Amino acid sequence: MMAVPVAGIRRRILLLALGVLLGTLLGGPARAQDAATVAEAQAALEAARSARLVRAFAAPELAAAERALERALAAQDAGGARDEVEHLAYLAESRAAVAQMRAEERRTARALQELAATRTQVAQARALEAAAAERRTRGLVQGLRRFDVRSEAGGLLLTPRERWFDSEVMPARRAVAALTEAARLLGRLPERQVVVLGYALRGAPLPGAAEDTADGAQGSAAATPIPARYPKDGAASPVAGPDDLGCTRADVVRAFLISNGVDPRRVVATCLAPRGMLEAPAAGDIAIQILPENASARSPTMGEAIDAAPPAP
Amino acid sequence: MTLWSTRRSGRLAAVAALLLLAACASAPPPVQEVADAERALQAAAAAEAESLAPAAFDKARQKLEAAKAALQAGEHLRARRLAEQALVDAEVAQAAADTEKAARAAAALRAQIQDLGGSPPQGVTGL
Repeated sequence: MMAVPVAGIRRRILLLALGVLLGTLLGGPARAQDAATVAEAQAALEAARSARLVRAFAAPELAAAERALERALAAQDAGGARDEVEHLAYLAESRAAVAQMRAEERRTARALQELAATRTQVAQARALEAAAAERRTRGLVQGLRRFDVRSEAGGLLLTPRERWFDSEVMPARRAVAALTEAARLLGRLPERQVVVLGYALRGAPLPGAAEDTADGAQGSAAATPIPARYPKDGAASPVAGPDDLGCTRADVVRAFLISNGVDPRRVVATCLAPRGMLEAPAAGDIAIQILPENASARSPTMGEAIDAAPPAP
Repeated sequence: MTLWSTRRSGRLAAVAALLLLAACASAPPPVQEVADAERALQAAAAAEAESLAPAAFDKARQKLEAAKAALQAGEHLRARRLAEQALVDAEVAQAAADTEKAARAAAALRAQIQDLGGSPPQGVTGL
């Protein structure tokens, strides 16, 4: 009576141990591996094979995927171990994916050549247009009688030949004629953005910079822009600059240009304050900057240094 | 069922296990397969797959490490399969990275053309 249960228990234990051992041996090699069914591999390969793009651009990879699938099918037909068949199917499925990606990559690479050629053509066309516009602009500014003109970073800087302001913010009579001339020119260059530069009388230290000594400040051409204020909608505003006569004058000139037909959206006023207490020869004066084609005028923010020395008087 | 038959079952199980172990270890060591996978992974790394196709690249790297470990442990069948999968995963990662780079280059060119006021050629925009 007692021998049978003991033998049964032992047999169960042995069978369980055998099962665990077999499971470990069979499952062990498959651990950390990926698997796919042959049907999945066949579907992936069929999708790749039916894509004209893949046939055209990734024939070698497609052939490799087909060979891999043949190996999986052969293993299956020969009654190979399931994990070996699934391993081979995974390889075939992955190779089909490689074929798809290589086809896409090569199509894009071919398109890149076309895109690069187009970019070159467009860039050349724009360069020709810019050169033509520059020639036209130069032709226009050559007719100016009251300004000196020089190239400035792809644009033009118009400097009055005479001082415009004898006192405070009221332009002298000669300045009105010059401003009218400038407004007429800007009307003929409606696509160009304009910056009215006002050279401040007083200095403004760069934020974060050490205070200059009197000696160190002399001769310094660094300038700190002081943003002029005017309504963002671009409406004409007579005076709204920081508390400096040079800045205020820039706003006055901008307002004058606007009142003479210049679109307020394309003209800004910027005040340049010499660093420290530099007595710039042109302090308090004005210049008009016509920006390069496609450049946008903006009012610099406080503390943004720009490389602009005051024009010679 | 007797004690004798129980012992016989145990012996049979042990023999079967040994046979299976021998089958796993008797395959030739897949040294070449591991080396091939290593080269494929290096090629994928050179193609920036680690950043452009991180999932596929990591999978390949982990399988290669597992293949090396299995080779060291004498599990040749497992090592071979892992090495073969590592190789194909590395090729997937490299292809994905190359495809991504080409797509980015095309997008950059299209943006440049549009910035210049032009329009990309027909049939290329849809990439």
